[in-house]
Amino acid sequence: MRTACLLTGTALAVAVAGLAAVPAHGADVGTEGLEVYPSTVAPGAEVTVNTSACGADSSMTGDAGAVGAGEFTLEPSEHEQNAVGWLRVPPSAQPGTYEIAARCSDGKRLTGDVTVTLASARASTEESAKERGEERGKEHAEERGKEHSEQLAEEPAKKPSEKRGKEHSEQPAEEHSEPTAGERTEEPAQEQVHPRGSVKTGVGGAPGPDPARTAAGVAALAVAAAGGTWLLHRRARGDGI
Amino acid sequence: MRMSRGRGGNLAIAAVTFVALCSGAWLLGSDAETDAPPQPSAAQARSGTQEDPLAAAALPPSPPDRIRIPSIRVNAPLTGLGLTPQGSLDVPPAEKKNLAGWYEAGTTPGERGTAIVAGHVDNADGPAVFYRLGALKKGSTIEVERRDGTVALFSVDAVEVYGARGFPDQQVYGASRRPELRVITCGGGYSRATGYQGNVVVFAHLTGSR
Repeated sequence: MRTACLLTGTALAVAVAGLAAVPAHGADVGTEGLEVYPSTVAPGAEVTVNTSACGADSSMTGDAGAVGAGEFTLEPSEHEQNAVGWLRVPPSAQPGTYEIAARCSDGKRLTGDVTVTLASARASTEESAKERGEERGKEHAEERGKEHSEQLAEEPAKKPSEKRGKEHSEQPAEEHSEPTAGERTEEPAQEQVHPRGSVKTGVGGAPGPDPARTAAGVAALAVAAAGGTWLLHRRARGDGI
Repeated sequence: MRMSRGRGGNLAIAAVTFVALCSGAWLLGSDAETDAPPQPSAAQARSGTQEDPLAAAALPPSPPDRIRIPSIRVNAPLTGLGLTPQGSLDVPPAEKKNLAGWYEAGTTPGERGTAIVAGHVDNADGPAVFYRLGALKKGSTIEVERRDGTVALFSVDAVEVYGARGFPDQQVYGASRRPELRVITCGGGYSRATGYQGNVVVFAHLTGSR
């Protein structure tokens, strides 16, 4: 399994020719490049850019000019060796795959990809959200290969308000804290599909007595009672005990 | 001759009686142990007026591998969960009783937002991984081991029971500004005809990591 993962990882890395092959599983530390979460977004969505390639670097500037998002800052996170930044894909962005770049203080250039697709923007109702999940998977597989579609399934677009960066905590937070009940129910459908309803996590094997078992228990006790009675009876007759 | 036969017979009867007594007691006794799973008391409900306590700074995304809840002796691996065709959260395979799952298209535990973990309260054989979830108390610790090697630590804010009808999707699954965790299992009333009537939902927020 591990070998398979490694092989797939290598193949992918070769396939994208040095572009950040974002490991779907965060454990692959030391990946060269920028990890972009989610890697496929609708225009107007916000993405997280992560890297561990610069080591314990101070904050650095990323360039998302290709997708029209300008520059953004990557701050070292609490986790050493890791810098995180946020950027917003402009609502006017056209579908396509764009490069995002950043430079370590030692001059090493890092890149990552973000794919802008209109697919998720179309689905704005709860009803279509499910189908979209399947659709998106398919489309994506065609676009960028299987690994990426798996990754998409794991890391769909996050709500913009969730991913607000520290650097814009003040005023944009205002802008994004507005969404109230009505909007909030719609937002997840747009970018992250939330489950609905209760969960079937029990079959009721444990609670309540199992009738068959109870019957068997009662029968066994009845046998015991009969045996006991008979023994007492024999003893009363002085019959050998 | 007759004497020894009688004695032998008595011994046999005594043995049968003894075995029957023991097995009867076992059959009925262990039934009593498998009473309905514990349900949270009203004291563990969400207090609506209270401000949400501040959570620790969010961790970078990383899929979880294991969940531990020391106070109810939970220590279980996590598998990825998707959605059912109806849009509800899928569940881990029922036959694996010590396996929980997390909603892998959602937020990873420790990341900003609402991460969702679900597991069975029981299966056909008896209690399963989250059998005692309803006994969890506010302030209890939930640990989630993540694939990046960190352990996200959560503190329980509330333990609620919701009926399947009118399930508060937004409260349970909705996005959140701080790193939060939901742990879900079956609960509420149980009827042989319809199964469990709802879910026990544990609300927790990130307090740190190690």
